[in-house]
Amino acid sequence: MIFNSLDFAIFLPIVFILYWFVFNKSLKLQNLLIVAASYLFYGWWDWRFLSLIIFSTIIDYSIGRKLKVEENTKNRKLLLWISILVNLGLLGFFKYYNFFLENFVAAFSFFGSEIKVNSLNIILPVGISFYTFQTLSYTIDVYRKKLEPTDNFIVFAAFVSFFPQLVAGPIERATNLLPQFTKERKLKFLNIQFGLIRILWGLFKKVVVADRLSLTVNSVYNSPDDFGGIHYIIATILFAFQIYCDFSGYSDIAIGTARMFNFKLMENFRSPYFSKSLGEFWRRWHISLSTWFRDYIYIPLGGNRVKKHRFYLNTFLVFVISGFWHGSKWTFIIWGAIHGIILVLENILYSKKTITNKNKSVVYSIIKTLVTFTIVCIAWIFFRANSTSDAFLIVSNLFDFSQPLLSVTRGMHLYLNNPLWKFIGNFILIAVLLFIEYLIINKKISEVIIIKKKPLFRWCIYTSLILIIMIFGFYEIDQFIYFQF
Amino acid sequence: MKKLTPEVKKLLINFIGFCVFFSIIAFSLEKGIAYFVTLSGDSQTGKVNLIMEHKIDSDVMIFGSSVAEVGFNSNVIESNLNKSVYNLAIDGTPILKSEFLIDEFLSYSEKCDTIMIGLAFFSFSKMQEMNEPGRYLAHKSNKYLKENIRKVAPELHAKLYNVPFYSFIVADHTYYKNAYLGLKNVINKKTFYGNQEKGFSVHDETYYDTRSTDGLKMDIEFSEKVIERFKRVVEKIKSHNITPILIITPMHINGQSFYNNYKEYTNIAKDISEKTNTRLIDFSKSNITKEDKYFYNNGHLNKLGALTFSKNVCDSIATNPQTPQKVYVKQK
Repeated sequence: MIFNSLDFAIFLPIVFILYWFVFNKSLKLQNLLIVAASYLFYGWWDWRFLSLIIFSTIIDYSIGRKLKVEENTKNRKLLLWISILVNLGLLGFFKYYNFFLENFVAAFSFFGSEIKVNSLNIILPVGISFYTFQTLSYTIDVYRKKLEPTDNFIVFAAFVSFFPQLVAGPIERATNLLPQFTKERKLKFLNIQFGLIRILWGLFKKVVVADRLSLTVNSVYNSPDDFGGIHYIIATILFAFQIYCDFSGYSDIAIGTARMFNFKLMENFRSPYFSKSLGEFWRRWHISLSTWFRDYIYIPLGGNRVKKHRFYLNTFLVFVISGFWHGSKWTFIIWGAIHGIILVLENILYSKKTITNKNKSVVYSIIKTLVTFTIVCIAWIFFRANSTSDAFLIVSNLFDFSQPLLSVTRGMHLYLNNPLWKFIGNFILIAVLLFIEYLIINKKISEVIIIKKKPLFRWCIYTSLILIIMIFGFYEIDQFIYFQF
Repeated sequence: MKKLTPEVKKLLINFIGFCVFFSIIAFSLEKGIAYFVTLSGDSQTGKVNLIMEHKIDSDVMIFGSSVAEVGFNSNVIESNLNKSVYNLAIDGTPILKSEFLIDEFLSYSEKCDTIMIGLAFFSFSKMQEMNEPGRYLAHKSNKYLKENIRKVAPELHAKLYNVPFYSFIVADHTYYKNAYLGLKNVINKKTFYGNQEKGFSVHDETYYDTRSTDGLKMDIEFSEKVIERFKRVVEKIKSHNITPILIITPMHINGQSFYNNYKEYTNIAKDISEKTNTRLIDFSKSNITKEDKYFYNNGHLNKLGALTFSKNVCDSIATNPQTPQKVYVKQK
């Protein structure tokens, strides 16, 4: 079930009513309802893969309980490794099996020996990368004795499968989310208002901005041979906003939905395109994943408390792994590597630089923001391209402006396969988005500010937003980009 | 009954208040936009409006898809037959997807004696969705349209008639453009009664072979259900004392060769003609189909093609005025 579907529009109010008005007498019943609703939500897509979630839940719940009583370090380590191997084993099989197989065969043929192996027709279960990392964080935190393992299976099952963030995050830390399942919950009107505003804003980003931009982006990236430098540049800029709105839109809806049930999820995005460095970008983009990598890979590797060359290697490695987490394609690995390399360079550069007043000027800030955005966009080319050869074709022709922006096909004046008004519409959407984001980061507008306004004013805002979503939304895309990861 | 907590009370009051507020605004907007759309005379929406608002009634009406829209030159047919003619074929819409237009037309027409149905290779294929619903959305309460949507696209029917304000989701930019044009008509005190070409769309372009370059051929998938429904439409027209004429429109031989079973399509048309005792004019083997100069792509006639084809249609009707069926134009 996806958030921008009629199914979800029916599902959410039913679960909400049952949760607050039928099962409100008992916390246990509310948690049970969350588990049942979450399984229904996930099973709506493909019920067969529910077994994976349930299996993962049972394994990590059991290991968590064993870790609670086990004091022997060797045995504790063994239990941790069982959890890691089971979870990453599932992820590896479903997500990376064919990738490794293909590259294995390619490597052999490179050295002159042909081998024949059969690749499997494996469907990637939606959200497997997200819930696997969430359950792993639980076991690791229990192993590190940072978290008291739960004895309540329903609570743990609810934590693993919590439907608002099950398929595309935010990847919650057990230390934040798990205790919320054991706290008494009371219906708060404020939370519901907050949640609904957040859902509407997320829907706007997804169906009005992201899905509209995707039409232009797809036309260029799905047949790059037909286009030239100017088209690649525009399509890549549009993709930067498409993926941001698609993913942060999902996070907003997840955070809003969870809040309606009195759960507070972590923020996943903080206007990342206003970042002045790549380091800052990663503190604002997909925060739940970058902090996961920081806590469970980067710091165990030694983080920045090691020799410089090791610190640079750690940074680079984490980003390559992050790229690989996104998908079993070389394009994602290259994308991660680009971020890793630039971050290392940034660290080298900034460690030698002193901050002067000139550095603090507005113009300097704008230039830094634009440079950061450009780097992010170049990396996006690899992320979005359908293959490495497509990506290199685009990069190598990025400044080939021999093809005009306007093409005339059968009498139609087209700009990247769009009539002029649709083409300009893309930039108007981005301008509107950036303006609102600017107001948000400058605290001129927020859920709290809207909630404090008089009902009629609030209703006007809600009504306008709903009508804009209905009228300007594009409803023919039934996926969020991050579902594929 | 248990007393409600203040938070629940607040929630309920706000929820009900907002629902009423939103419904009033959305309902007014939905109806207002729909009203202005019905006043637009632009393009395909304008054609739909002509019938749904009962603004057109001619001796000869032409129904069909884009193939008929660009093929039947109303003025040429009018001057040749000496009868008033209007081309109501809708672009991208096989005849059964616009069955509601025929139903509505039959419900009020007093003048019409002949309905020409322009057939194309996809006329008897399975239909899964209504194309560009924004063209007729303004008339969604019309009983014939409702039934037509139910038959062709049950899922859309369920959503459109059960989900409040679903029209906003279905409507595309042309819908709002037509609302704007309708509003402009009101401001300028203009009314619309069709265009000078009488529904015919002129394409003054040269031929472009639209076949795929890989040489692959395709099969046309036919649906028994659609064929049966088609027969019922023909019978319905006849029951209103109007003569239906089925016309297999010319398709370029390159286009015909792209389909393995093009012949089957013409056979189905002939079978319908025989079973319903309806006249059929077959242009599938006409000389027109062999000449690039008559087409702008494999399925559609250009200006010259439409002129020639329309004259041939009139000649065929004039030379065999009483023949009820099996009039084939061969090698003309």
